[in-house]
Amino acid sequence: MALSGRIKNVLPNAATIINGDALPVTGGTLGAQLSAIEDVALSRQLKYWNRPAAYKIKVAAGRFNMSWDNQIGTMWVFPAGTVLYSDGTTPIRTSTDVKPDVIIPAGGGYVWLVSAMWNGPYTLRSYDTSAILKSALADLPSLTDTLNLAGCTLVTGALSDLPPLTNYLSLSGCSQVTGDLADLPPLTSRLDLGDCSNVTGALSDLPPLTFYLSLSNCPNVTGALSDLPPLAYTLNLSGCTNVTGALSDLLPLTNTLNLSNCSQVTGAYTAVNGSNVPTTTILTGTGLSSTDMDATLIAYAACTKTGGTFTATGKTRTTASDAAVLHLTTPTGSGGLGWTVTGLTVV
Amino acid sequence: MYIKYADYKGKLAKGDIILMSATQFANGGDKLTGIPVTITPDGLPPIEMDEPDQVEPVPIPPEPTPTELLQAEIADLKARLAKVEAVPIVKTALEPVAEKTIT
Repeated sequence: MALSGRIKNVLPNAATIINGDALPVTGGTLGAQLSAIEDVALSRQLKYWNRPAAYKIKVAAGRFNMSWDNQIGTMWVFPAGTVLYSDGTTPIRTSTDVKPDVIIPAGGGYVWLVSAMWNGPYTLRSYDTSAILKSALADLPSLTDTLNLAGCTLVTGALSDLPPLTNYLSLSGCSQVTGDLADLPPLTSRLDLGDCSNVTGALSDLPPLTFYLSLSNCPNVTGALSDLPPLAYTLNLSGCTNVTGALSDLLPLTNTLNLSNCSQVTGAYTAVNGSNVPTTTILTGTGLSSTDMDATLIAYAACTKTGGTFTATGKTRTTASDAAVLHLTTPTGSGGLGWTVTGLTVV
Repeated sequence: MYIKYADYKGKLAKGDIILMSATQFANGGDKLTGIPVTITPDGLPPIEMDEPDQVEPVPIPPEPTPTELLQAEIADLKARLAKVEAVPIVKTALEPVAEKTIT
């Protein structure tokens, strides 16, 4: 059959114009280019959009009282044999409560959490479910605000499996969690990975936190204090034995400074003023010299906050800070600041 | 273990710490050197606390109304649409391809 003169192929195998500019590409190349554009522009979002639509929670037998505070379209579905915790006998298969309190029967199973919307200012928190939660981080839906699974020692997964949280994440005590700090979601407020001893990474890879950071007992974390984001409330690097740096690199904290056993941390912490001084300070096992300690105590005594604690067991100071220690520890009714100063030896 | 300053006889076991009040510190306690000391305002042992977990509550925005949720969804969709529209538009000049005559 004669096909002469017929237009057989209209694919862009010749000149292709993109936005008015001549740019020769073949059809196959064009497809690849578009795909690449999408990948670059949307890769992060796609990763998050691909998350589960519902949270399928693997649980062992025991008490389950997790909470999810977005009540719009929320439904919990429990395995057969689940009963109310309040009386231990009333069967329950579904709930629309923010925080249902039930007992999962022997053998465990799956709890389903369905919600009309995961993104928004909502919190998923484990509460007394910690001991039975066997879920993986990759099972989590696309939460965007707060996740608190503190104490969930059976939870598995890597930090790269987390949803795109932007506010607060606590995996404190989730000792099976792995991953690198560089894989954390873009948190801006609080992060607690205390006792996540398998976590690795550098402080410079932390997200832009502004409020609270605990990496206590994460000995594989490296970096210097100067790499930290600008925290204002709590810094707990207790047991981060590979962390280095000088206390002079810290901003004023108002709640806690715990650098226990950070033996490579040195210098004086004098960036404190008024009430902008940690209520709890623990410098036991740090590398501070007597002179550093004197300067720190003198700076603290110049502040106005009352009732704090300053612990540096096994560390030393000199008589140069005697007046500061006296002012700090004198009761507030007598004109002092009412602090407790623990464990220092005068040399 | 805390040893009260008044009970201190000049020897400390390993791990022991002298405990004194600010008043005792001011009245001779500051002369102690070479031994660890804890000073509290009233001379009572400090209250040992685990890792402080009392985080000040962060203000949480009020629950969005259905209208606000809808508006947020519309804004989100518009943003997503804008991303799609930002992808360069491809205009292809069509060229006929001459087919060989099969005889």
